[in-house]
Amino acid sequence: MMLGALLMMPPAAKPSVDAFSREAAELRPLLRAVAASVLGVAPSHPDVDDAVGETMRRAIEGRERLRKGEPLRGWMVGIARHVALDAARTRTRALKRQAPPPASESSRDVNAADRVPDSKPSPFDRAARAEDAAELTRALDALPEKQREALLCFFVEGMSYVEIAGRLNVPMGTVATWILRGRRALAVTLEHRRNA
Amino acid sequence: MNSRLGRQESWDEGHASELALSCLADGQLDVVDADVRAHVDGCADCTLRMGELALESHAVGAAMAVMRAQAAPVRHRFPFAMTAVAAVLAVVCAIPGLIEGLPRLLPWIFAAPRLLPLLTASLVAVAHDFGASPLGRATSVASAAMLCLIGFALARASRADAARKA
Repeated sequence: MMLGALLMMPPAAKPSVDAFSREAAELRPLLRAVAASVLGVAPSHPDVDDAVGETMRRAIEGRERLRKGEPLRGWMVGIARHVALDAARTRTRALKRQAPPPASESSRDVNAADRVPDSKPSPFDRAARAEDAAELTRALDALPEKQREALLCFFVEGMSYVEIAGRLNVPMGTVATWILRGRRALAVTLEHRRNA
Repeated sequence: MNSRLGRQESWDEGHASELALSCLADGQLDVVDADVRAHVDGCADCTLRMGELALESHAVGAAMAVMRAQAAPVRHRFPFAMTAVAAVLAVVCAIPGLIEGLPRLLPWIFAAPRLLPLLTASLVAVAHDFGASPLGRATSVASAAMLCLIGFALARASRADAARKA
């Protein structure tokens, strides 16, 4: 009877498409910035619009994959990055198939092609390895205490800048500066490991 | 306490400052004034810089999530509920057999006080003879060596585990 009751229960409520779309649409400017940055083109470039549209489509279709408690912003930035990288790779392959373009075009496209990462794993993939995590821990330990605390509050506990300022009892601008500097230091560490 | 960036912190030579762009890249829209956000929306240079900061933030956030996951201790909870259910089932299933076999078991139970010393004495005698034989001595040495090896392996495994956790 209990099993029957369980079987008769409706499936768990899924986030409505409308609500999710509204929330995702607010991130459009950020996604546009990410796609333009990865593609190495102006934000008004048609490829950027295509990448943002594709990101929105994938996010809406795969919204059930967003884990509980996972911030939507980070999740969608990750999708935008993948979509833009795919677009950049497609463009690189197309360029290789074509005859060499005029000199001015060529230099611009070669620069764009250079931005496409090679087969080396991304910082995220590499950080999944234990030694990368250990390196990141060391880099984190090397930061001033308050900076480290602010970073952990933001990235690990998911607190906002204002909440962190309240907890650490410092002005919000100070928190923003600590996070900017600390994040830069950690990004440099990840970049060094990637190039090693 | 001010919950917004000041004008001096927000602007840098007519463009959004790195600090303001960093806040926007981290999704902290409320701490940046609307005029700065409007400028970023319409400025290709600021948009690209914000994109780079957002990618940086994403990479660091993802790496920290991995670091945190690796640092978290793996907890294996003892399955109390399953064990209790299994024990109850075992007892229930054993009841018919126990009732049926009880008359045959009773003589053994009553004979246990007499049989136990006899069994122990026999085991001691066999062990004494076996220990004195060449095969028994070889077995003793092999057992000691095996114990040493197991201890060595355990020490190495615990050291590697401690290093991984650190």
